[in-house]
Amino acid sequence: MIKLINTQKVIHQRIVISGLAIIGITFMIIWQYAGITINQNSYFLNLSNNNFKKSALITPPRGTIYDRNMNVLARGEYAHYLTLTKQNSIPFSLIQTSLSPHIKTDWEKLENEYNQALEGGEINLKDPLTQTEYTTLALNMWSLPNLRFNEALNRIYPFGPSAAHITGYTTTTDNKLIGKNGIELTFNEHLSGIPGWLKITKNAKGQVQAQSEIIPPITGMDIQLTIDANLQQAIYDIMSKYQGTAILVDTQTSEILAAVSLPSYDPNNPFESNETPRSFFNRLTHGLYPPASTVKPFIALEALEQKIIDRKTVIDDPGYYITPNSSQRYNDWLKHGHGKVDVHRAITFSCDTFFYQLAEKMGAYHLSHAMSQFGLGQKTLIELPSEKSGLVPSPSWKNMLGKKWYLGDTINIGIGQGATQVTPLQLAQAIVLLANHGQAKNIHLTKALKDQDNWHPRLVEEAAPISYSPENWTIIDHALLDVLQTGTGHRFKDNPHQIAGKTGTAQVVNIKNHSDDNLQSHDHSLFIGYAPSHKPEIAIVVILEHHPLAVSTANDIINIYFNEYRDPYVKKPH
Amino acid sequence: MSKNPIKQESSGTLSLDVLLRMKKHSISLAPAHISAFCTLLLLLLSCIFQYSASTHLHNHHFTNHLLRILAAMFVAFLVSKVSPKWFKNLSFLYYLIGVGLLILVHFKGLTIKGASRWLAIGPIRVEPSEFMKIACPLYMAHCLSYLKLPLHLSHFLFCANIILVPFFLIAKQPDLGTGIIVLSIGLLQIFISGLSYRSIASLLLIFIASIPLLWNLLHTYQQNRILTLLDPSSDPLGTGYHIMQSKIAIGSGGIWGKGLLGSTQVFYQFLPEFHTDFIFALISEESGLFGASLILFLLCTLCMSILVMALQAKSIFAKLMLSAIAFYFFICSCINTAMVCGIIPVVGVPLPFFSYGGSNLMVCGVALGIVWHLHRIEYD
Repeated sequence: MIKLINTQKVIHQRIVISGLAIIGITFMIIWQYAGITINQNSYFLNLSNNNFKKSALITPPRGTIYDRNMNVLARGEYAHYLTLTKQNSIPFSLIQTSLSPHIKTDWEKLENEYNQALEGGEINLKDPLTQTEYTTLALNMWSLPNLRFNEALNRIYPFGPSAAHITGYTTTTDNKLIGKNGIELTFNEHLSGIPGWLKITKNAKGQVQAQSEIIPPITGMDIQLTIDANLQQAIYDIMSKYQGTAILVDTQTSEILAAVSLPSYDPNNPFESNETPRSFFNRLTHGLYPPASTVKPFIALEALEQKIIDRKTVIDDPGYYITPNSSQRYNDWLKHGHGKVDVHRAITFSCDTFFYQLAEKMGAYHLSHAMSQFGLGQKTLIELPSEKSGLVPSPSWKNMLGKKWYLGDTINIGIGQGATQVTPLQLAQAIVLLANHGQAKNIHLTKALKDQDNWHPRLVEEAAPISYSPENWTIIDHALLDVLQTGTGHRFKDNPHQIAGKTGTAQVVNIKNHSDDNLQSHDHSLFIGYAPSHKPEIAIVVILEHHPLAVSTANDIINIYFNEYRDPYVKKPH
Repeated sequence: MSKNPIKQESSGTLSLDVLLRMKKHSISLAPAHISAFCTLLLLLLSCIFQYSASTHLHNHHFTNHLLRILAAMFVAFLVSKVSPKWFKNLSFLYYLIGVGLLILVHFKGLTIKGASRWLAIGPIRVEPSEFMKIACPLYMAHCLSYLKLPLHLSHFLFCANIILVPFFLIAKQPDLGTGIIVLSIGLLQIFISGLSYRSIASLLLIFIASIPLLWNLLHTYQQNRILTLLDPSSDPLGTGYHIMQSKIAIGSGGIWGKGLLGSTQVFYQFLPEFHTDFIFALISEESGLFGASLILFLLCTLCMSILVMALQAKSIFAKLMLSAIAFYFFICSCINTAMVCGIIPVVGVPLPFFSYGGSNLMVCGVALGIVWHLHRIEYD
């Protein structure tokens, strides 16, 4: 009996011990839960919210770039991309067999990417789908569960390479277009607008459950350029055989009607065609050329104004000039000389000897002043990125380099050679000032900006006025007209549009990095001019690298402008 | 039997004394009432949270749960009314049937998610391991009540075989969770039958020494789960992902929870198995620490009330069986809640009364039926 009682006692003890253990462990678990829910509440609440609440940027559509007649130069367009989601259950061979009839791609590379991806990872097929590919695939989508279409905004440039150096191009970063050159870069912030914010709710599978806009995006501004895209294209076609630039400016408004730089690239896919790095070189803003004889009218004007010469001053040109002190000989381009030469003939026939003597008389200060007045060697403040300023040499510049200024330097500037370097746009600004007798606006590319629904026309500053006496302007006008009647450009005297201008030939001994030896043997040919000479409407600059036909090209461009593009432009001003 | 056992047991612990005095003051029905009250409250809460879970599942989910609760209550009622010999005398038969079914599962079992745990009998799927949760303790209690108590080490070896056979059969399915439950209930019964502490200590030493051996017996996925628990960052999107999402649910609930139907972890499908094994994470998220501790408190109270019944019971068999059932409720709740908050590895153990599933509720019903049956026959 005692043993039985003892047994029961042991059992009861053990039951009580178990009960206490149960209570103890239950409290330990509650303690653990209290730790998680009270101490770590904010941490886990944050994690819980981050699980499903995501925010995303809404990229507004990028603004459109129009030409002066509202033709589109650059616009945004939605492109379709294909996205593959990695699923271990679906082998790559199945994807390839079902896709290969519809699209073309690098299957081996794709297979590698697919096999290396983690379950649920996404792989993009790089190239945007063509419209046909998209349509046929969209009809066959049911065959594979892990295919999805993505939309992305692409930039389309309908005029392709012809305006590439003006519009520039864009690249896509984080599903956002970023301007990389030209107007796209200069006005990147205007064009891209201000992104908005989107609140997205996603479930564990990444499916979007709900979304709401918190901050609406502000659409990018549209830009109207002064360019006539069709004229630009026509000039590009004329010039396509050459390397160089051509600029056509409206002399009344200083609007650039066309500005071509060759070679060019296709802004629609700038890196996927066979463009060389040189194709991206924008000669309009970065091309530094010796202005050569094209500076002669500007120098002559300054000399007339300073009364260093007058219209009757005549020199004798034996084909060279020897400086009195150093007996250094400077040759004229014409071996036996032009004979008796006054300022009119000096410009018409581009007499170097006249300007050698004139330069020596004027001195370096007046020479560089003559060129700087017309904006040579200074930035034109055109709406294109990182424009070069070029150089008009002066004694102080050379002193700064620690070198001495020689008389030879002065004489070389007199014919636009030596260290003188100008950009084509500077020449365009100079010729516009010349055509308008010193009163003109700055040359520019943009006409108006569209903010929401209103177009805001661009206000253009006047260039610093040049006040020379009217007779002097007239002397130069007549000389420039005669360049194309009797002078260096007399072959085009039959042109009905009364072109006035100045030719130039720049020596290119300095340019050495050319791969093509044949090209190197030729000098650059330059032409600046305006038409019609009695009442200028357009100014033109043509520079052909290693090719002599600048005047001929300018003649073609002016013809094509007056015959085909002048009328619609006059009828439809914006 | 002694005339007045209370006097002789006064040397026992204070709580024991108090509990026995309760009997003396003829409030002997109290533990049964408390257990019934706790059960009803737990079932009510279970309905509420299964309703919350059902809003993210198919339409019949909640109705199914209600029907299963009714079925389980009916079974509990039936079990509590049958004749005592159905348990004591037939326990060996149940045990044999259970072991037979477990062996059958190995050859003809349905394999779902890589584990063969189910037998298809017509349209019904039966889990023999669930049946074993009741059959094994019954036979164990039956055997122990015939042995000389306190249990001697030599008898222990015989008893150990009773639990080790089903344990290995279940663990091989593989279903380590259920195996551990069957094993630990048996061990508790052995503990209560009074195996000396010295024997227990020596057995523990042997067990610890054999851990490296047992480790190799585990499946790779079971080893991984244990390793993940030791270093959750080693497997961020595998097993650790479930624990992490479950902890996020619990932690983000705070003290008062996000409100009924307010679980974002469930709504956005981050929480896995939110209506079965991980329902406690849903409960914690929606009702916070308050709801979680209320449920743990109710479960603990239920276990305590059954243990008090065990103290009050006259026969050794009833004492052992009641303790086993109390321990069954406790060990399931303990493993489940500890797993959900990441204290122990993920094992497939349902939360009694709460987890969706017929077997879980049916085992609870049968267990409670036995409790009330034993309580009835011990006092009537």
